[in-house]
Amino acid sequence: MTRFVFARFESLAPAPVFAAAVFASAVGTLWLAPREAAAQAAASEQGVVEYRQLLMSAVGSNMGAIGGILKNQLVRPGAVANHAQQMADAAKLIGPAFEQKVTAGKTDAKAEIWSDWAKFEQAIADYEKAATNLATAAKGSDPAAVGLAVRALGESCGGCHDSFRKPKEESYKNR
Amino acid sequence: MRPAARGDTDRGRAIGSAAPSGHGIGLAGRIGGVFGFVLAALPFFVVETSAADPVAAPIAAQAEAAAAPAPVAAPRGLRGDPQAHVLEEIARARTRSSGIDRATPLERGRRIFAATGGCTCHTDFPGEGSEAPALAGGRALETPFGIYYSTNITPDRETGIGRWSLEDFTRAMREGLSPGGEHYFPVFPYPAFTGLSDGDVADLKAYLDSLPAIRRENRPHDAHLPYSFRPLLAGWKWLNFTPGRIPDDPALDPASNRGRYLALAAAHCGECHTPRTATGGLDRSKWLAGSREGPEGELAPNITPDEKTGIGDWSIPDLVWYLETGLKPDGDDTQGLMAEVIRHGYANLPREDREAIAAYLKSVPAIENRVRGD
Repeated sequence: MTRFVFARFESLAPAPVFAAAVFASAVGTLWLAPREAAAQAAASEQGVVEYRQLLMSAVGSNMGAIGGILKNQLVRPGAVANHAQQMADAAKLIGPAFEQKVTAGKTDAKAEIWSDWAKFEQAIADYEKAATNLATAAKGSDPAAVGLAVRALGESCGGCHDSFRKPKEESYKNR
Repeated sequence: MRPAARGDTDRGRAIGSAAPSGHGIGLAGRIGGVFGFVLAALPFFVVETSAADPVAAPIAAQAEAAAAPAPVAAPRGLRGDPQAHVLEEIARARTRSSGIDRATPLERGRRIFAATGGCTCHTDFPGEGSEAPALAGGRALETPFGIYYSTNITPDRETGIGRWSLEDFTRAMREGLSPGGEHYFPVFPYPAFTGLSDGDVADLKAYLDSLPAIRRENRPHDAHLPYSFRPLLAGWKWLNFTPGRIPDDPALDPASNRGRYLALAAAHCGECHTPRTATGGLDRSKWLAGSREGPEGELAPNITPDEKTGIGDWSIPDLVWYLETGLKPDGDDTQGLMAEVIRHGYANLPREDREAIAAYLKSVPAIENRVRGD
């Protein structure tokens, strides 16, 4: 063991070369580190946006499925209530998904989300309530109540989309 | 007393933008737009508006020979067609069965009011937390020609239309003329409303008369010369306005014809969803194919059945559902003016009217015209 270690030190390069190598690696680290961190931050911002959009797609898919059942008069017992409940559950995920402010990149989120966070949260709460109402109505037997609850839920989407999502004229998709 | 809504001259500017680049057309276009009709452009536009008229076009296509001299005259000739007569009978029977005939003028008026989209241009929707003075006007309608303010159409006798006779109202809706004989700026979509039946106009007035009167003075328009100069509108009308009822399209079944009537004359879909020519008239060769210069700077999507750039992949149930809830097939909701006219208008129609409009929208020619990126 001792001999081995000694042998390794014997084989080491002369001190100046070693020092230069240490210096170079230190410089390299110092120079590269911020760039790497920046790249990581960008990736995570992109990830934040991607997750937000996937979450919104899940909400939209449930809303679309509810419409798909009702407008085509499909018989899917319990399905509307189930989709509505999933929308209510998703409401709990929206706030956390938007906690980190990201307005750059391929997103239509407006800065007002973070400058008027209380209103944003209230709109989410209203949406959750509308989704819960539909889940309840859909378990009942009054089609008119379901219709009204669906319209109210659809309008509650506007609680955020009217104020906090860029209109289609300004959407990154149309730039 | 200057009723004005959105419509013909509402070629957009980018939302919140005062920059010239946001304007729908350049200076040359605007000058051309107003003076063009006295100059060389005149024959061109006359030909354009008559030949590609969407009202006449399907009929002209049916009766191929009729196209050149007077396409508008074609349907009159076709009305004598025995089959068309049968179709009319079916339409009447359907109308009776749906209870329109039994409805009171007020109920019928409410229905036609809903079909117009609830006249929302006449409501100045305020910020949240305060009440909108419904139909009392004062809404700023931004156009490349200046800002026009919609007018009070409540029955208030001093500031609204409470003193108007049915004749006054009919003339405004069908001819674009005020009780005093002044031309209305075509931000008020009388080029569409002219197609309404006398009965529907009367019922609509009965409904408006039943609403609460709100006292609110009309605001003068903030348009710059020459766009504030009403006499020029005589020229504009000569170019871009054909008064009169819309004849049925014999190629369509009664439900689609009912939908066509509602879409063209009442819902005035084309006023936003059809792009405009340099004179501010509708470019009828691109009927419903979408406009980047919709009112208030909004982008109005292509609603023809084109698969790639329109709504060809929307089924009739999709359209009916959309006009009731504002929810698209993918579950997304609707913002802006369309959300307003659905909420205060189309959603309140009887289901069969939404079905009729959907059937009509499926029947229009598909036009490839990309107005949005997604």
